[in-house]
Amino acid sequence: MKAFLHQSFCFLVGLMFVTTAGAATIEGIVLTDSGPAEGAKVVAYRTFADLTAKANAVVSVEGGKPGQYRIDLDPGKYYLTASSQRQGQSFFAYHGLNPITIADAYQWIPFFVLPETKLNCEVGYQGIGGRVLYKETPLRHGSVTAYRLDDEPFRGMGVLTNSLPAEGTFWFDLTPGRYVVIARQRQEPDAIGPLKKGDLFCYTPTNPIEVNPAHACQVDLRCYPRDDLDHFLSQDVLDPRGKRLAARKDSSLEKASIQETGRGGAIDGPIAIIAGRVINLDGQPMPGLVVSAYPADALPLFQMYVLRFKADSIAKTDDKGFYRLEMRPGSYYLVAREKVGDAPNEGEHYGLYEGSANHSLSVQGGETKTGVQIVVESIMP
Amino acid sequence: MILRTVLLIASLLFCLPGLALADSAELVLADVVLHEDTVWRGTITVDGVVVVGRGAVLTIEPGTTVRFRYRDRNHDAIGDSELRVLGGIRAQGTAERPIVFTSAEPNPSPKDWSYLLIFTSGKKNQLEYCQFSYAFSGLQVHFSTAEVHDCLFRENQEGLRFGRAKMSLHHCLITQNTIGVRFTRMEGPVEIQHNEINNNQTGVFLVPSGQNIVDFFEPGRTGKPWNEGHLDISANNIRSNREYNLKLGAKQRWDLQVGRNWWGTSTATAVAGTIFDQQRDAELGRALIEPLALKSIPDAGIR
Repeated sequence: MKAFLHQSFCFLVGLMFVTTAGAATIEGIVLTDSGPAEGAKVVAYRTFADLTAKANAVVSVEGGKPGQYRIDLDPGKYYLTASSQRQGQSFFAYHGLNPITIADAYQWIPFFVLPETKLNCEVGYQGIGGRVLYKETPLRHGSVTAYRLDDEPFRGMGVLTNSLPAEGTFWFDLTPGRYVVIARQRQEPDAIGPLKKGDLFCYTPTNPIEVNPAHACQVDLRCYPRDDLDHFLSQDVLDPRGKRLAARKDSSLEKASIQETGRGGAIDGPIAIIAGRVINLDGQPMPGLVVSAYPADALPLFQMYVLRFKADSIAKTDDKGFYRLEMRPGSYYLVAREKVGDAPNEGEHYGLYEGSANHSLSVQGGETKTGVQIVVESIMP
Repeated sequence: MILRTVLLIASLLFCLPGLALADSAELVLADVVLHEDTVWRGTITVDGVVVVGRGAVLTIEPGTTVRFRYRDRNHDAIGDSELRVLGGIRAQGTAERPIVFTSAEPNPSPKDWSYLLIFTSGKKNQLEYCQFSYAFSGLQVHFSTAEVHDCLFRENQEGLRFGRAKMSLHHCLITQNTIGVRFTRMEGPVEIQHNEINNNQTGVFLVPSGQNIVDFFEPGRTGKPWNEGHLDISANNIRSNREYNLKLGAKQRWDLQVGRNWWGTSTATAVAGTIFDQQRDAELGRALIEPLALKSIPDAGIR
């Protein structure tokens, strides 16, 4: 009996340790546009590779109410997905903030699941195309990006970024390989950084998509609005939030901040900094422009195609035209312009760094280069 | 060492604002950015990349020769020397005193130098009575505005190439290049009129650029004639090109109006034989050649 009590005590102490210093409880609700998705499951993966292979998954249990879930996770970064079934239709969500950092504190993470899309690949022009849909209507504006798997966590411009035309269609010429295709629509078209409330995030559960030689793949991306339940739900659906709306919103991910740069993730080792100002031909500061740094190490010459590469670092100029870029040590081509992810346009203010004939600048780890000026002007008069 | 010193002094001198060179001076420029308005005359040798900075305008006087040395720093068998214009360029020669852009090599050949590139310029650039030889592309214009007339493009890999641009190309002779005119992106407005385009391997090559990957063309390429009214290719003599007078590149699915040109014959069937379009590749758009010019355009080419 004494031994039993001792073992029980040790078990309880151990449980307390796990609870207080280990796993965090995550709760939330999974919603379709017609309300809570009963029987929905949320699955957490440590890496995107695990998500793709559906390996090493931590699966949620049902919560106290329809559509709600609960999952206990050790602190760390996770790729979270949700899925449900209804009347033979499969629904899916990939959280737009993946990978999400789970601390040792309670979090409420809602999911908006969408009907699953299918991938159709057949002999044709090599690449990936399709439509971007929100509420089954083509998305008129926004951008769509193709990422290679090593672009994880899939933020920034990826290997290819296109603006969406009014038809909501896209097409990417791609070399054979596996790609993750994601679309986004921001309410502030020139915004960069994490998506804000109401911005659309569009995904397909068929990611990653494999491009084979001489094969064309077609797929639809479906969108949900970040943290905007009012917009997501169909008009005739009751709001499931009830009296606890304020509490839930406080613990939601609305205020989560993930730096959205082309490189994604943290920089190993000492960072390098390039800072300066963007001005026009009259010497006036240019606020609100995007300054991008493209890797130049492997290229002895500036050629236009380097600007199709993924930018390593992106920043926006402040009210006085100042910018600050953090990057890995190396050489970079610097460009200042009004937009991200589109070719230069008529009337757009555009400029290259002109401190060298190939428009590049080198910076060492731990070094800060200041006073790096870029002159822009409106192009194509 | 002496050469380096000369290059350095020349480069420093050249950065002085408003400097005009005497006819007798032969200036050698290595990698340098011109930040002030500059005038070139006489003979200029480019041994690397010369950039006309934003805010600066390069004026090249009639009779000037700009020679480009062969340098291949990226080992792609294309000379790297280049004149890159971010600011503006006014190269206005005359029939009697044209401006020459050519190779500095003793035995010149195509691709000895890269190009005169006008890139994201905010000026209305003008080139007239200019001669381009032995380049990869004599002239490239991207995201810029340029008027090019009475110019000669001969013995280059490409006579000229342009993408998203406001371009007027008229009264030029484009001959003996691998590709005479290459229009990528298929965006305009572009006017190609009253030119003589002959004895190239391909006269005019219209292609959406498959290399451009950041939204450099309409996503989806649905075949919608979205560029209608932005491209005017008319009143040209496009004839005697070895492979095709006109070729549509892969994925160029739009039908294109190319009427009122002289193709070396007035028979529609014979003209079609010199064109690579939907008749040879069902995935491509059609070159709409009607109405055909029934005889050679008399005022096409350099005046």
